[in-house]
Amino acid sequence: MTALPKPKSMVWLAALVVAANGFFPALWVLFTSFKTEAELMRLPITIWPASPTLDNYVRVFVDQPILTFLFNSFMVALLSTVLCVTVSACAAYALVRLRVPMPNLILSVLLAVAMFPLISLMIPLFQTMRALNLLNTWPALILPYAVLSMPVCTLVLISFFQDIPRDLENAAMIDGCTRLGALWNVVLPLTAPGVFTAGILAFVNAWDEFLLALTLSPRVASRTLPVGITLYQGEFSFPWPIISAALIVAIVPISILIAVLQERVVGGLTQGGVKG
Amino acid sequence: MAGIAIRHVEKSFGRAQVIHGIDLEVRDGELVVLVGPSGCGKSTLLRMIAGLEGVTGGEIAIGDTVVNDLPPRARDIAMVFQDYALYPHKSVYDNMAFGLRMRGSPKAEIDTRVNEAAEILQIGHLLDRRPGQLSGGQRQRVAMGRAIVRRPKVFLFDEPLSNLDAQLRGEVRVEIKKLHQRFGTTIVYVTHDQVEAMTLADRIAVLRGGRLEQFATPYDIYNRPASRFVASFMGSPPMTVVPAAISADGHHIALQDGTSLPIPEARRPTVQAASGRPVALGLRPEHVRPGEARDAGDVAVDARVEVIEPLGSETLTWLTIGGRSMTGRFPPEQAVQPGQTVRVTLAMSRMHLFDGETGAAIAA
Ligand SMILES: Nc1ncnc2c1ncn2[C@@H]1O[C@H](COP(=O)(O)OP(=O)(O)OP(=O)(O)O)[C@@H](O)[C@H]1O
Ligand SMILES: [Mg+2]
Repeated sequence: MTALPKPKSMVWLAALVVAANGFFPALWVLFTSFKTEAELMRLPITIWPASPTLDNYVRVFVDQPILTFLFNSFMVALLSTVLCVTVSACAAYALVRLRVPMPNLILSVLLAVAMFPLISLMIPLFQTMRALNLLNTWPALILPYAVLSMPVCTLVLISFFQDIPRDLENAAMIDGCTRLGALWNVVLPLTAPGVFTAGILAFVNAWDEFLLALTLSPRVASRTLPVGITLYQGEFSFPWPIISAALIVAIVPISILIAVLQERVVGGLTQGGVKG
Repeated sequence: MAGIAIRHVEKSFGRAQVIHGIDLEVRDGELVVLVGPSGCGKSTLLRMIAGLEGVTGGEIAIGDTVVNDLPPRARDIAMVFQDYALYPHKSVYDNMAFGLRMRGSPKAEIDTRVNEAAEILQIGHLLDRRPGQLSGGQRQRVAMGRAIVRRPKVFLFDEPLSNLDAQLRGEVRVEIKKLHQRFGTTIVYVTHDQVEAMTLADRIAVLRGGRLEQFATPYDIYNRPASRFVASFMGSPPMTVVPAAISADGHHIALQDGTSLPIPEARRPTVQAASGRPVALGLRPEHVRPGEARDAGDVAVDARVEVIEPLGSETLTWLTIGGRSMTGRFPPEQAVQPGQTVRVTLAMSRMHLFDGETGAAIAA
């Protein structure tokens, strides 16, 4: 490698700015969740909690059924991810491998769908779900979430599928697989990082979503986390520390889950490599 | 075990027709090599036999079964791909075992067969590795191992040696021949390397532009080419082919600069029909020798040496004869220099004559 033209410190500075910009709000929320409301309102502003307390976390679990919210969120995100990745994988595979007429047109339409502002879909979605009697159920969210993430998942998977040599599948089909069997036994294991990436995208989209969840599933027992957290807000009060603690509860388990999964999937794959 | 019958098979991709009605009968246990220039449809034909491409017209049968509508897995074939197409995420053992597993063979039998194949191919010590950890030659062997463990009716090879260096290619070529002798399985082998074609084949099918140009033994392909195309495609360096004309009495053949060469007695009756028409005269380099005429039918002429290529065992000599360039094989001890004029003998009894327009051979 040739010497970098700019001093390294500039690179570090840039990295620091980007990281601080991304992490500071998260850290602020984390620290806030250990503060008392009094401390938060006091001047001068403290960053590090003066007398850390776990009270906020206790309140999070006592005041509202957050475990229900967690469970709802998890199931909705998981099921919509599975649905989305399955359908996207089939679509991406078809576009890459099978002789589908006008693949580029189909791709453009997919992209166009991804550009739709969510708000414009809300009323039709609400009416549809009401007509189907699905309001306040998981499917009311699973179906739209899966569809909303489909374009981006399909695009991600297409780029991964394109890297798999056609003859690998041919070899599998000669070895006794059906086309689906070849997809399952050869293509998917080799594109696991892509499937994983698509899955994360779909999962996080579903986990974060607020607008549809509020509209289609407002009953307390069926709320997902983002909507559930609004319940900590009183009529006249806005208990920042408790809401911060709830946010941490919402973020941490999912971050750990993703990190662990990523470790596994990526670890299992570095040995392979399509080019060999 | 089974032969393959290809009956007037056609293939089009969209509106472009790439195979124009090929008939080919591969006998049980035969090793047939498909050769031809790039893009002539060798791979396409092979893939149609494998079931990886559909057939647009005609019929393909393996054994007694017409396989047109059978998927690859139901055809009982194995294929070795040019880039090997080993499963990168599976060990060598699992690569070879995969086909048997998919067919539900018992574990013990899989183990026996994989180990047996590994021993034949001398890859026993590699069974735990991933394809990514193997050299090109080793991958090639694994690919062959994956094919032979299944004991299919037919092996299909698509340029399996083209990614190996010259020396390895020679070794593996012998290996493939051994495997064929050992298992006696029908093999269809695609290559554009004529040495592979000549050395491996029981019969060679020469394809050109999606048509079968000639289907014959290597001996006949070399010595009785059916067309000018086959004649110049097979043989290295290729046969020299020059435009010529046959005299009205059929006794002489004239090169373009007027040089007239007598036609040997024995060949006269067959060439008579072509007299007065433009023809092409072909001579293999080994039939252009230094020195004076010795045998009946030999004709000695003066030739100018243009370029020499000493190969050790022989010296390839590019000559100008009758205003045309021709190639000769000279013994290595024959000291000739570029620019020199030498006496060379054309073995006219071994000449090939082709129709000047169609390129078809004029019966020898
Ligand atoms: N999937 C396809 N779609 C369209 N045309 C194709 C397709 N596959 C092959 N062809 C065309 O068919 C012709 C024959 O191709 P094929 O791969 O059989 O040639 P080949 O004889 O194997 O050549 P090579 O020696 O370069 O491998 C070529 O002109 C090629 O462009
Ligand atoms: Mg080819």
